[in-house]
Amino acid sequence: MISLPLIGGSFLHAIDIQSVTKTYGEHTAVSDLSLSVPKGSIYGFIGPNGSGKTTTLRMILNIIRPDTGRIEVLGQEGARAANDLIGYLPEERGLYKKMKVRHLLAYYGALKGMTAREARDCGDEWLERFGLNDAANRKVEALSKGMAQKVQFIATVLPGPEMIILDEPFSGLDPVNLEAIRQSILELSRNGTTVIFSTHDMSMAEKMCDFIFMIFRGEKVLDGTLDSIQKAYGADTVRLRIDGEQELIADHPIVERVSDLGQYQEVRVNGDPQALLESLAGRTRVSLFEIARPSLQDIFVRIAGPEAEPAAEEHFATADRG
Amino acid sequence: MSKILTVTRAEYAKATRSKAFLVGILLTPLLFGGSLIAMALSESAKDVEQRDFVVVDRTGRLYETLEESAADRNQNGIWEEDSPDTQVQPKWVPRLHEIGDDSAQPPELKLSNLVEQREILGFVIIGADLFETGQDGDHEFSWHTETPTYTDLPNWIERTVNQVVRDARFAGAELDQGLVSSLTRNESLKVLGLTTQDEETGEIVEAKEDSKLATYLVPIILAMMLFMLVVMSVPALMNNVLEEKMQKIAEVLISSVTPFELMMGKLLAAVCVSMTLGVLYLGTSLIFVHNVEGVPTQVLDAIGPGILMWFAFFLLLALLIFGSMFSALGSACSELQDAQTLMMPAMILMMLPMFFLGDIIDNPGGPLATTLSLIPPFTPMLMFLRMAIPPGVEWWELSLALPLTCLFTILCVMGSAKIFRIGILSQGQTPTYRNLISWLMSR
Repeated sequence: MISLPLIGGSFLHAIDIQSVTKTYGEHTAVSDLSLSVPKGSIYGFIGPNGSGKTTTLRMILNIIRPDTGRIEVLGQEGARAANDLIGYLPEERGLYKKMKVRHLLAYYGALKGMTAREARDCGDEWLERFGLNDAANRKVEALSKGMAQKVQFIATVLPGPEMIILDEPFSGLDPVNLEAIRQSILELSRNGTTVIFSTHDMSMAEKMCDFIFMIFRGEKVLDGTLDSIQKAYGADTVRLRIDGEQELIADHPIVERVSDLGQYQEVRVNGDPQALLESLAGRTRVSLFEIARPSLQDIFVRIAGPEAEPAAEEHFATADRG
Repeated sequence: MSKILTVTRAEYAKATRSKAFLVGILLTPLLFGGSLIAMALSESAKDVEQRDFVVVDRTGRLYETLEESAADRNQNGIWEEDSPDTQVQPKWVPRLHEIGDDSAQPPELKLSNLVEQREILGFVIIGADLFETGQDGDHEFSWHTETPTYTDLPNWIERTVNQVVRDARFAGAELDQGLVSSLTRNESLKVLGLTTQDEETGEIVEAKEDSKLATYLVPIILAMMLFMLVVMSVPALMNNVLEEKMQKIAEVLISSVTPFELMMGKLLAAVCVSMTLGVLYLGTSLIFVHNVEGVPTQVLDAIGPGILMWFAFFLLLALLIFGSMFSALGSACSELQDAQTLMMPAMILMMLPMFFLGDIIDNPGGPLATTLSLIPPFTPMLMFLRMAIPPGVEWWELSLALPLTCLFTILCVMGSAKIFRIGILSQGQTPTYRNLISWLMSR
């Protein structure tokens, strides 16, 4: 990991985590984690449930403190003042049901240091952008789920934060609302906002993130650009589509794993992919054959899936002994 | 600090703009007014149902008097004064039980059957030796009924019979009853305050007569109001914290404010809401007592600015102590049911002073009252009550109680903030009090 220094009174990393550990009783939620998030980047946090993502995000927000290690956020260490520069969208939405949308946005804005006028003007702008003008004077409980999610997103970005942390921002959204929020995130990023979002949607992470960070059982297992991660896992993946029995693929001796992705199968091979193509072509019609890098989904499963369990057990046992 | 005030402003607006708050404000006077209306209605709905009763007069001398007195009362004593045609009390109609008219059954049994059959309300047995002098309870004189709660009739019988018996006894002893009454008349003891001297004029100001209303009722009402304002706010605060935790609002908020700022903001909002209610209720009461004729001046003196300042001060302390405690408990729970179980000990601690209210009013300067009012969680309610009852408390008691309670309040708020910080993000199983203590002790 390259540590970027402070240059000319500015800082190049929005977040700089050094050797952070957090335990709850006997359970180690995050173990010796180091991570640097460049300013202006979109950083995807992935990992199975209970792996330490939320704990990491909460430590970044200074909601909880690490047992050991150091966290610097937007150039400040351990200072909650940085939180006024951060927008946070938690996984489970938290809105006052009985409050009117405009009042709610004004309150959340005020907590981030905005004046009532600023919050109102900015709020109206965002509501208009999401087509929610009519909802401004409605109570939150009267909104549809998609509308409420958009209001929660507006509350997060309203004060114009330097960094936004989004925990599962797309869960439960229909494609139209999803696209609206996705476009807004990309626009914020283009304007220099650092975006951190945790997701279980690997294709979304692939599409949006400049960097991917994966945490598993409290330890960092992936960190880098998608390209570098995929490179590290080699070109052992074949995407193919055949007519007839799918067992023809699974039964082939060099095939280690088959993932059915609907339109095609993603196959991990341990050998020469050419041999697989020749074998299949001789027995059925092959309409797609593409040698590719493994998808993030596949890499995720390799690390955290059931087949990785023995290796993971061994890894963590060694780490514990170490 | 500005964030605390932001939370306070929002919470105060949320609480005071809610329908529950407005309904609560209106409901209290409505309940008060409603009870007055109910009283007026019960006044107008008079009980005029005739009551028959039987007299077993073994003296043979008393029934006639009872019959005459009852007839006189039925003719003259049961009608409304201004409107002689309107009956306002029931007629009482006696019947004589003929002694020896049924030798097979004792009269008590036969008459009891009549009571059960609702033919009569009850029967009175007057023993043959009632005119004899002797110790109380020596003579047979009893009232038998199925409805012992109706006491007007037996009381009237007792008075009427005793009057006749007393007259006869005085006559037998050849004494003038009027003279005896005059000689044995009780002198009533007036309860007065202290005589004072006007510092400017040197004039002696005579002691004023004590007003029960000012001495007892005003302190009790003020102490009850203080208690009521705390009880109205504190569990509501706990529910508010719990609700925000359950709806995940708390997680959004503490990404912007510290848990301490959040807790203090809510706590101050609860204080402001209680103070608003206090001003409304006390203000209304003051307007009432100042504009109603016949309210003793002692009452107006008893609700002076001094005691109202202490009321506000002790209300503030009580709200900070119990509000912070209940906020911490709300933050630690994930379900309402668990919160209700967890809050029981704190609720008992809050209510405990009320159990001693009677003892403290009886002896406000006694060792029990003094000791209890120096225990910090009880001080706001009990010290205030003792201060409101004349002559108030000693200076050393206040000098000891105030720093102790202020220190306890600060410790309470700090300890609760520590539990709140951990609790507000905790999920899953509700902690026990042991867990809470370990959170309190954690770094």
